[in-house]
Formats: sequence, C-alpha cells, structure tokens
Amino acid sequence: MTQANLATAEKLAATSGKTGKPSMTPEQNQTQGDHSDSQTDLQLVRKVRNGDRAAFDLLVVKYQTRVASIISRYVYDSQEVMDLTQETFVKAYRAIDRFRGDSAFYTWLYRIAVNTAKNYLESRGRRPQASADVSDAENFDDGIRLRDPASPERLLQREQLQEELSRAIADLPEELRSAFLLREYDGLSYEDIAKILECPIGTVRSRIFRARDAVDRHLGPLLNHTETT
Amino acid sequence: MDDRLRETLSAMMDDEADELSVRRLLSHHDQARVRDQWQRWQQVRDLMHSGHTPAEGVDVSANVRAALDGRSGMARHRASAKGASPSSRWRWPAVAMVAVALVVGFGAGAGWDSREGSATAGAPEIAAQAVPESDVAAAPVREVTLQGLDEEQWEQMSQYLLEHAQHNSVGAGRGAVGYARVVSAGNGY
Amino acid sequence: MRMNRLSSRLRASAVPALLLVLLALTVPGLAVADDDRSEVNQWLERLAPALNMTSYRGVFVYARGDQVHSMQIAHRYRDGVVEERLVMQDGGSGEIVRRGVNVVCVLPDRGRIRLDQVIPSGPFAEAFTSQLMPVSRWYSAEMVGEDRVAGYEAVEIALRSRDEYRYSHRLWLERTTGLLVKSHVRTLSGDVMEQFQFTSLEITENIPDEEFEIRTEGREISRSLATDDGGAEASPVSRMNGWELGWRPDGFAPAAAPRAGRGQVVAFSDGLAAFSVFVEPAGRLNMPKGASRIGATTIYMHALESGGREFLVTVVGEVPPATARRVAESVRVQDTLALEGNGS
Repeated sequence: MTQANLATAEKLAATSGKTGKPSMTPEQNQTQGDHSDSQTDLQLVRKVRNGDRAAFDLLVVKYQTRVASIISRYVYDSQEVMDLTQETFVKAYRAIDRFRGDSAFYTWLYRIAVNTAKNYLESRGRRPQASADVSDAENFDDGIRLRDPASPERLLQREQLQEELSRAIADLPEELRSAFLLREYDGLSYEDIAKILECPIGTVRSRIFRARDAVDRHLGPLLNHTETT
Repeated sequence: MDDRLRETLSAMMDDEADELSVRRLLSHHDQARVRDQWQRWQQVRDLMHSGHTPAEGVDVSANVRAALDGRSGMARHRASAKGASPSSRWRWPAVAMVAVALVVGFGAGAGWDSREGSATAGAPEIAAQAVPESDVAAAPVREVTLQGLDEEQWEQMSQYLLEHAQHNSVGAGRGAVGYARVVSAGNGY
Repeated sequence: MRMNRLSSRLRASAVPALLLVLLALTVPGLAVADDDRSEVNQWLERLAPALNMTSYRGVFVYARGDQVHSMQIAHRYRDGVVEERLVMQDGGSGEIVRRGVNVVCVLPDRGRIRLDQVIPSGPFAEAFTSQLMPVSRWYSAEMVGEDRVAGYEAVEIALRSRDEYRYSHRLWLERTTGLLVKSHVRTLSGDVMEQFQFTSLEITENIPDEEFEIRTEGREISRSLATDDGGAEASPVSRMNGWELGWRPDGFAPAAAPRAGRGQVVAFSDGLAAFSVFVEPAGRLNMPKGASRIGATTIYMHALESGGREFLVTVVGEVPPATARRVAESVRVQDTLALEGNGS
C-alpha cells in the first residue's frame, strides 16, 4: 500500500465511523473540487446556452443540495426552502446568457440563491438575519444545513447507508479502491493518480468509473430515495 | 447508455471529461437515464463527504423542468431549438432533422456568439443583424437567424447542405469525414 | 439474400482508385520551407493511400457546431477492393455498406433520412483535375508533434491557412499506417469548428466478411458510384452554364459537379477545403439572404438581378462567412436563358 493509500484509508475509516455531521477539513472540502473553475460546469453552461435543457438538468442535480443549504440559512420552513431553491434555478436558467464565466458557475449561482432568499424575506416584511457573502461560496462546505429532523428512522437509515458504503468500498478490488479513494478523498487529478499508481490516465479513468459503478450497485435500492417536492 | 458514456459521466464528476465526450453524452437519446446515473453518483459523493443520505437531500430538478417547460419566452424558444418539443414544425422527417441541425448548430461555432441580447431570442422572425466577424477583416456579414424559416425554406437549405456534403464526401476523398458530413447533414438531430 | 444482391452489383473498383489519385495529386504538392518539410510531405503522401488501403474497425465521432454523430466503421482493403460498413450509433439506426463502387444504404423504415440524398451520388470523374497546384501556397504545413488517439501513436500535422479566406486544418495520422485518426477544422485564432476523431480503433487485417454484411432490417437503397452513362461528362467549368464567378480565393479550382444534380452547381476546392456554388432562378420561394453556419460550414444566400430576372446564389462550404459572401456576390449571370432552361 502506498502512503497515499494509507492516508485515504484512514480518512475513510474516520468518515465511515461517524453518523453525525462530519466535520470536513479544508483539505477534504477541496477534494470535491467542483466549486471553482469546474471544467464540467463550463462545458454544461455552454450547452445550456445553446438550448440544451438536459445539460441544465445535470447542473440542477449537481447543485440543488448546496443551493438548498444556502437558502436554509435564511428561511427555515422546508417547503419554502424547496420553493426558493427551485426559483433560484429557474432564475439562473433565464439569466444564463449573462453568466460571463469570470467567476465559477457555482459562485454565480450562489449569488442568485442569496438574492432570491433575501428578496423573498423582504417581500414578506421579514429582515434577512443570516449573512453570507460570496467568499463563502468558494469555501462553503457541503454539509446540508437543512434542519435535521433526526428522527430515529433517519438516523438508522443514515447509519445503515454509511455501513453499506464502507462495505461497498472495502469490497472493491484493490486497484479500483486506490484510484477511487485518491480521487474522492485526496482530490487528486487523474494525472496525479496515474503517476502514483504508475498506470495510464485512461486506466485511472476506467478504474474510477468501475469503482463508482460497483459502489452504486452495492448501495442499489438505498439510493435515489430522494424526496421529490 | 453504454459503459463508454457512463465512463464519460464519471469523468465529468471529476472534471476530467473532454468537451467532445460531454457533447456526445448530452446527445444521447435517453437523458433521463443520464440524469438518473448522475444523480446516484452525486448521492454517493454526498454520502461519502458529508454523511448525508439521499432522503436528507433535495430534489427540485423535476419541478425546475416543469417550471421551465410551462413558461413562455425564452424557454419555449430553447425547447424548440433543441428539437425535443413535439411541435408540428418538425413533423416531416428529413427536412426537419436538417432544420434542427441548423438551429442547434447555429451559434455554437466558435467566434460566432451573437447571443448578447437574449431578449430577442424568442422572436419568431427572420432577423438580419450585423455580427462581429472575427476571422476575416471585412465588413460584417449579415446573419440569418434560422429559427424563423418556414418549412419550404428549411427544405431548400437542407438540400443545399446535403448536396455540398456529397461533393465533399466523394469529390474531396475525405473518407469517413466525408461520410460523416453527409450523414450529419441528413440526420442532424 | 442481401449479400447476394450486393455481390451481383459488384464491379471493378474505380472509385477508390479515383479517390486515391485525387489525394495523391493533391497532397504531395504540400511543401514547406523549413526543416521538417520532407517529413511533413512524407506523412501527407501517406494520407491518401492510407484512407483506403488500411483495414480497420472502430468508432468515430464527428462534431460540427452543436451536432455530434457517432459512427461505427469497419473498413477493409483486399484484392484492390474497398469494403466498408458504417453504422450510425446515435439512436442506433441505419447503416451504409459499400463494396467497391456499390453503396447500399439501409435504414429502419422510419423515414428519418432521405436515403437518396444520404448516399453519395457521384461520380466526380473530373474532380480535382486542376489540383496539381501546390497546396502549400495556401497552407503552411508543419509537424506539431506526437499524440495518442484511440490508443494509437499518431503524428499531428498543422496546415495553417496563409490568408483569411480559408480555415486552418489539423490532421492526426496514425504512426505506422498513416491512417487519418483525427482532424480539426479551425479558425485562424485556433478555435475548433469541426472535429472528427476515432474514439476506438483497431487496425487489423483480420476483419471477417460478416462484418460487411447488412444487418439492419428496413428500406434499402443502392447506388453505384461508377458512371452508368459512359462518363461523357462536360467539364465543371462548362457546367457553369450561363454564369461565372467574378472572384474566388486563390487556389480554389473547380472540382466537382454532380452528374444528376441541378446542373447549376459547381464545387470548388483548394485541396483541403471545398465550397459549392448554386445558381438558380429565384422561384416562388423567398429565401432569407445572409449567412448561417453549422460548425465550419457556412451557407450564404444572395439575391441577384440580371436581365430583369431574379436569381438566387447560394454558397455552401467549409469557408469563413466573409469568403462565402464575397464569392456569392461575385457571381455574374451572363445568359439568363441558359439558367432558366437548366434550373431546377
């Protein structure tokens, strides 16, 4: 096992052991790497500008949880959060031609979300109490701040999922697991992973895909239980 | 959705997919499956990083789609430009395919971005306007916005495109590239 | 049996040879003044033969503007005959099978494509007769480096336009065979407008016969690329019946005119890029005038009045809009009657 592998294994152990909200280190936060200058986001935005709604769908799916989380700093009713989240994306779609690409897409979306929430409160004669500025967008952790109902069922489900996830990852063949963890927990680029694992980039890409696929299949029916409001 | 496309989607999760693959993925006919796979992987990532289960997440995507479908103006324009809307305009086959190709392809070419003022985007008229010509130092070239063409005009346009593509494929001996241009002209959707 | 029908149409392979000759004529002219000139030339000389004489199977992607098409291809060269089978991957419908000069196009009967138009309807026997002129006068050729495409080592060659009238091209040729595995059409500033690329590829002599059999059920249309009518073709120039071009970018020569087309179409090529000029009496259809484009392809429409009659000039090609416009505006009608008589 390489040093990097050990590091990721430790992180995995640390994360999977928790059932509560994990505290993310800045480094871990970095690993998701899709807040700033996301190439995928820009690719999708270009497609949206050419009228591709499917591309916008992918952006919605990717960011809806984070947008809801921002809005929940201002608004506490979960239905209102959903409505405003939806409104944020509709506004973003309509204004997509005005996204100049000089900031990250997520930063731009974040501004729209904050403004949407503030405008909503003002229209209701309520003063926005939370404050969030744009710098938060870049460092914003992904912890969902929707008030956690923390019902026993929820906690149980969460625990079960975490366990299944750990098992799924543990069951991965070593070569898939290393690549996957170096990507997800260490946030390394495919190129860097290729260097560490001494294999071609194409192999890294394929291993990460196969790892995701295996984890997805393992978790199976436990996923996609999203509440559609 | 085959494994190649799913691998592209996985690479998109990591910002490692190239433009061409992304475009190919998005032109896949079953976008619902693409979206579903994307969502599941996002959920796994959420779970790995923040410990949150899908049930604690949010899914407004269906509502956003509905909201965008239900409104007028730009959304309607975009929907028709995408060629996915069952508008009567596209009922006749080949011509429509080329028409869609023209609409979708139009403006996507590099250096031809005249989308600044999107207010007029929904106007169903043949607008002629000056566009910046970055490639050739010459007077601005008049741009034809193709959304406004009627069926016969489309048909005529597509005919020209196909004939030219044939010249290319056979005359220029470009092998597969030539074939691709022909098929692209005849089957652009 | 479909294959039997196909075989019965099999003839001597004229067209592959033609294509070969065309590019062979076109490409060696490319010369550059710097050190790698001989290397570039050697590669470009291999391009044309490699297109036909390499046997391979794979999947390629073609993108222009926002359109992306993916096609599966098997190509075999055996005993001087090219066999080819293309299957469209988008939506999984349709295939084109070619054996020598015979092309069969099959699509599920969904009426999605005008079959007669999808099949290249050559022949273009006179194509590129004037292409002995050196392409290097219009493009500067240069070895860019090495790359990997679909798992194969490739050399990358840049053909930069020397003027603003045409786009630049970039070609990737597989190292051992010279097969074109990737290509770009680019603006002067380097933006990619059209691209072609193998996403998977296997260069192999071992492609069994069954890979060239038609498998799609559906309407079948066949065409022979050979001249049925004895090849008594007028030259493209003489087919510019009743009109002439007042201007065209240096290097573009009349290249092809379709045998059964409207008779008022001529294609011009500089060896890499091509544009077609259509001239016909303006019908009852009122076409918008101006430029549109898909990726690297421009369509420019221009109205022309001559002798009290209205004509529609259309230029379609892989050239910048300003070039298409200038060509279109330079068309002069000399004999309105000739055009009226031949028009569609």
